[in-house]
Amino acid sequence: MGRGVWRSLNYGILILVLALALLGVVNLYSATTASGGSFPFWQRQLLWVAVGLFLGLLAFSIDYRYYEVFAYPIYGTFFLALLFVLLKGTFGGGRSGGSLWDISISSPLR
Amino acid sequence: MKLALIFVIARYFQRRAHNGGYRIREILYPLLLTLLPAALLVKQPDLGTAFLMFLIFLSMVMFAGIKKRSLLILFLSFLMAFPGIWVGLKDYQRKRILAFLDPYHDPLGSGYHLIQSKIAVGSGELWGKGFLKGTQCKLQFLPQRHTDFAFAVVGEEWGFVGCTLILALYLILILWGLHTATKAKDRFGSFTALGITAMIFWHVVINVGMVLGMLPVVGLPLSFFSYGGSSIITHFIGIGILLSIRARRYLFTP
Repeated sequence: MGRGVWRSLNYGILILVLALALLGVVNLYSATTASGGSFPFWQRQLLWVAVGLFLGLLAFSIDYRYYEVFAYPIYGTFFLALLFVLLKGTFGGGRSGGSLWDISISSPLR
Repeated sequence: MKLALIFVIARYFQRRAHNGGYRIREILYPLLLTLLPAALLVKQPDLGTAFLMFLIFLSMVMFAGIKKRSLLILFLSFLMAFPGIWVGLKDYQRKRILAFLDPYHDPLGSGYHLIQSKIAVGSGELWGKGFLKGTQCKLQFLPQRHTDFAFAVVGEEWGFVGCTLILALYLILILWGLHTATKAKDRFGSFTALGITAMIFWHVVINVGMVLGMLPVVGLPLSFFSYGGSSIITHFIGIGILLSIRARRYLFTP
């Protein structure tokens, strides 16, 4: 950890990925101008890209061997969450993954 | 879940290193790790993601190396399972596959998506109609144009040239990911890098194939590009890990 890792960060790839995401936002602006709304899709997407960038850099800062150490706890957590969403959809009467869960739990499962 | 799956499979291959191809017996465990969550996803129903998990598994196994005979057995058992999968599909899922084979059979129903998507992409021609000038998308002929069919908007407004440029960016990203996988310091890093690269690769192939009518509509977003918090976050975390594997290849002694 420490500063050495940040010096080895490949900024070219980071910029490439951000460029793709921002092109996506621009494209989204064009695709949804007819829909309107007070919180348009492209602004929401811009927010998601910012959150994604933050989480991505966080994932970068962690030594990846920790993902090996915690592979099964991570796997188990997501599996249970998936099971929970499914059961909730089956017994809760609604469609699997309500609007609340779309963001908090079922999202990272995709 | 996709990233979690990649971690456990990579961990498995890290701990089970040997020369020569893997036998079918040895890949049953990672197969089980794949099929458990995939079965839940099929129930959800999110067939696209379930299928993608299987493709990630297959890519990682191929990277590990597998005996030719085992590969043949795997392929044959998949072929034999196919009628079972077909029967198990929901009615609308079967319709989607039939619509892919012949979209004009039901142009206002199950074939509608594909036809509109192809009209949008085709009408862009070489240079496209220009930013904000697309009519197919503006007039809302094309459903899902902000999520899974975002690439059709690119096709209409930026044409063949725009599509090619975007795909070139993905190509650079994927080649870099493969290079990272071969240069990683340990097997876990190597397999994780390959799994994440495979995830991006299959997302792009399936999404673009679907938009162009070369694959059935399965509902997978285009990596980094389509609208949706879940997809964006998963992909950015994936890239963060790839960058981490890349950056740490000199930093420690194993």
